[in-house]
Amino acid sequence: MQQAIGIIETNSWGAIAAGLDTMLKASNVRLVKYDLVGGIWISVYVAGDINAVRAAVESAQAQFGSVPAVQIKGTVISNPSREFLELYEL
Amino acid sequence: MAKQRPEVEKEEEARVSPKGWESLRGASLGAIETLGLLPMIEAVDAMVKAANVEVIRFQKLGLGWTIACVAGGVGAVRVAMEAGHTAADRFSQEGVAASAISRIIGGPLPFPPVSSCMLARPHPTTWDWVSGQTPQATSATGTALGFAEVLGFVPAVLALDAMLKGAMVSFKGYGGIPPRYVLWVQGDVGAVRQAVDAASKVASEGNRLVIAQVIARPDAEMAETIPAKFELAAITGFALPLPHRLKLLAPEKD
Repeated sequence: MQQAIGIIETNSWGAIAAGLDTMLKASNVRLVKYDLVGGIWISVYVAGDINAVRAAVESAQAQFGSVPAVQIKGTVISNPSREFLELYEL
Repeated sequence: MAKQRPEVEKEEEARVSPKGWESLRGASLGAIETLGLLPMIEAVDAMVKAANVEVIRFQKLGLGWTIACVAGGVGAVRVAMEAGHTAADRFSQEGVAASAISRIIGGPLPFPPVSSCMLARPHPTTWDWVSGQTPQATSATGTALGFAEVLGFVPAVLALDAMLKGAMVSFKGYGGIPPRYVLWVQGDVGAVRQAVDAASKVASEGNRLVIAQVIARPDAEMAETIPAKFELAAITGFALPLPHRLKLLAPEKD
């Protein structure tokens, strides 16, 4: 099975939880972990099928795109290498 | 290769007045928040001299923010808060604190460096939270979640009080890195919506609202792992054991 990882990062601790909720509902992905980036930034990792992960990240980003105080970034890593997983402690 | 998590200095614990202020439980509350310690020293001095109030909490939140909370009779707290706010505001007019912090946050402050509030009759849970105790978990009916994310301790106190008084909800916890607070409540969907509306209305005054949202049917995994817990002291974010749910890396084969 090809595994992909989706990551969203935001400056709002409320939005990260609501975004995770959206991601888990939007498609068949699983929560991997939260990560403290530093300052007020926090990120969350999900894993699953590449299409599912892409849909999840897009829906989370769309949810907060219109809120001026919340910045949200998202990315999808398809087929992550072993080094990547080790580096980010996944 | 294991990534080293950067060491973050542990925030000092809330300094709580040793006197038996538990007898004040339920009395009127005042909270003041300043940028920089110096305005706070002036404010606390002015507050305790102005009226018969007890300082129930003093804490450095980090990033230059300090808070102090006083309790006492309605009139006493009102007089004390006015005196404290005036004393602390002298510094913001001089621009001492504001210029110091703008280097850290990389720009002008979005709101004034001194804010204060008073609650004549705080909700018991608000009292517990403000005085630095673990709030009693109230029995919540309903599983809907809602949160309000606000900028500053004072708006957080006001928002929490508005949420708890505005609808039948229970306080689930709080998270965030001060001066940003995320306050979570739980209850029936309608009640949570009412509470979140009340909180966002209060916090919108002075542009202190970041985001407020209702999650009607929270995903079980999300609800279990939201970064908010009662036991965290106010700076908390750093001490928070963030959950690692799924191991992606397969063990190396020999």
